[in-house]
Amino acid sequence: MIMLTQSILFSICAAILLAIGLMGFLLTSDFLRKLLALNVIGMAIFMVLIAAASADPNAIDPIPHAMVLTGIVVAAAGTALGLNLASKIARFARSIQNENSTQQNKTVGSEKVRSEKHTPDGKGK
Amino acid sequence: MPPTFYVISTPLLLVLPLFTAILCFVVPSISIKRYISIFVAVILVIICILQASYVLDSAEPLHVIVGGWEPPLGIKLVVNGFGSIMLLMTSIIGLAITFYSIHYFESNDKESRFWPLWWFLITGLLGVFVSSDIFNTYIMLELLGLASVSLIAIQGTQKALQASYQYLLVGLLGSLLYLLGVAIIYRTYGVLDNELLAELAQNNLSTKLALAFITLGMMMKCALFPLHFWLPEAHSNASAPVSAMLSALVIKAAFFILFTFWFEILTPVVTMSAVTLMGFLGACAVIYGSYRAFTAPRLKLLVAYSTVAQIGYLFLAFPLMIDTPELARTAIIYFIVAHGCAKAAMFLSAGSIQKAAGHDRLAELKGIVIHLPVSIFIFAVASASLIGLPPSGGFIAKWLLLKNAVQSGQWWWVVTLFIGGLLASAYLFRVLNLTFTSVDQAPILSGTYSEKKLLGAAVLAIITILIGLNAIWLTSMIGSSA
Repeated sequence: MIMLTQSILFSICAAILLAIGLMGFLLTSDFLRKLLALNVIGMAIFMVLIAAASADPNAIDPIPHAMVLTGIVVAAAGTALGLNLASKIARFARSIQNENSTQQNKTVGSEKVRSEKHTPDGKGK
Repeated sequence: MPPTFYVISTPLLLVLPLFTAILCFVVPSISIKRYISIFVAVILVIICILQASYVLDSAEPLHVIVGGWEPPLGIKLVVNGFGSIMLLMTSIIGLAITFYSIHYFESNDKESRFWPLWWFLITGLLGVFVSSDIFNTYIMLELLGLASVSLIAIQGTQKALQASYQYLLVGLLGSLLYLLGVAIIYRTYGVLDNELLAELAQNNLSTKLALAFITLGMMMKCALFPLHFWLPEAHSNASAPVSAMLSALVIKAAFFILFTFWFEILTPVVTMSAVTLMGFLGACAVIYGSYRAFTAPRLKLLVAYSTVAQIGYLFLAFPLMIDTPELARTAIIYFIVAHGCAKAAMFLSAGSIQKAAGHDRLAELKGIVIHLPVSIFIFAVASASLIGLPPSGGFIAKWLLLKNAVQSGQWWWVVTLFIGGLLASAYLFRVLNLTFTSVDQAPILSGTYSEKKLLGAAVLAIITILIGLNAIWLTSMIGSSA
């Protein structure tokens, strides 16, 4: 029977997290959930690295810690960029929705309202 | 010990563009950004020419130990034969596109965002090619990915934003899979340096697993069939300079990493069946990409699908690496250079057509050659290279592949080469046919347009012909660098 060392425990957890993350990424169609799933996958990989650091419990290796730290920074930057893009896409979607609803209102008859409503929203920076 | 100039200039390849990116971010005036960019791009070309001539002459890689920290703790930079040619190509195409970009953007707002991101992209590219540490390569890959995504997004249209978001997801997943491979390698061998790893690498399960993850990640990044789904949208919705850079160089960076892992670092686990699988996927990419290019309704979409097809050729050389590594390596490098120059020239000329016509719907571009003779001419020269017509670099690249396939007794890859060349001529002549004929139906172009910006693209088109004419010189240069 294999002893359940810290390293093996971390590796098992990492495998489970990786499976959850990959499933989330591949099975959902929601864009934001996919981004979250990527973060879960990232965490799984960081756990693999941490497990590698404690492979020998008497001499903890500091290099994987540095790698995890760098990885967290990269993941944060990627997530921030993704959220920013998602909010811009959502703004586009909203302005199209507005356009549709105002076009329906057009039968009621206010061309003026439409053009006024458009200028602030339509061309977001 | 190499001369001091080369030792200093290698880290400069990273520091200079990084510093320029930050400078372009801070400097308020657009014209100063342009001057700085041109200046730095020229300096990079000079450094890369000197380095390539040194590395290819001395026929041994240039090792630079940054800050005096030896591996395994420190990070080493290495310029090898393959890397030096990639660096040279990156700097020359980068300079040509920088020239083009100066005249391309209409809105100052877009252009002022473009320059810093552009230089981050170049930093990432050069970084991938000089890095000799698998974790450092990951950092450069992420820098490259985030810069590419942002460059697509500055186009600002809804389609471009959606394409860039999809590209971000695929890119992040790809580099995370790569990182997982790196983590497994570190756990197994305890080193990150390319050369130390190459000495230690053995054929065991964890190495196979690591190579599989890295391959999957890099396949996503270089859009090998069937993981190419993101590329056509991303490359066709970006602005022309960005499309050119993404198609000519960014996917090649992922290919460069893949190639390094398969044939330089983890060679013991590479088997004949594995390389044949990659060759098969490459063949599928050639045929599927060419077919989709033929049916594409828009010009830039057609060029983007052509990239999917052309990437396939690079993987066709994988099965040939086992028996005839020297020849296959030369063919791959030659193909990368020929395709890089031709595809960049093609995207730049397509961009100028799109700009002048206001759209790039192929059906409405009939007879446009009377308005844009230079653009169409550059497009035609680049087409000749992509099809593989004789005096061009593309012809020599395909010829090397063909000779190689016959020599190593794997003639069936030749069939793919022929079908691919035939399909390429079908989809590219479709464009030329439309633009050259029925001149009387030519659309009336509104607004002013000039073809002055195409100087860079013209230079690239000339290079594609020159490397075909100087084939012996170039192949011997590449061959000696092994």
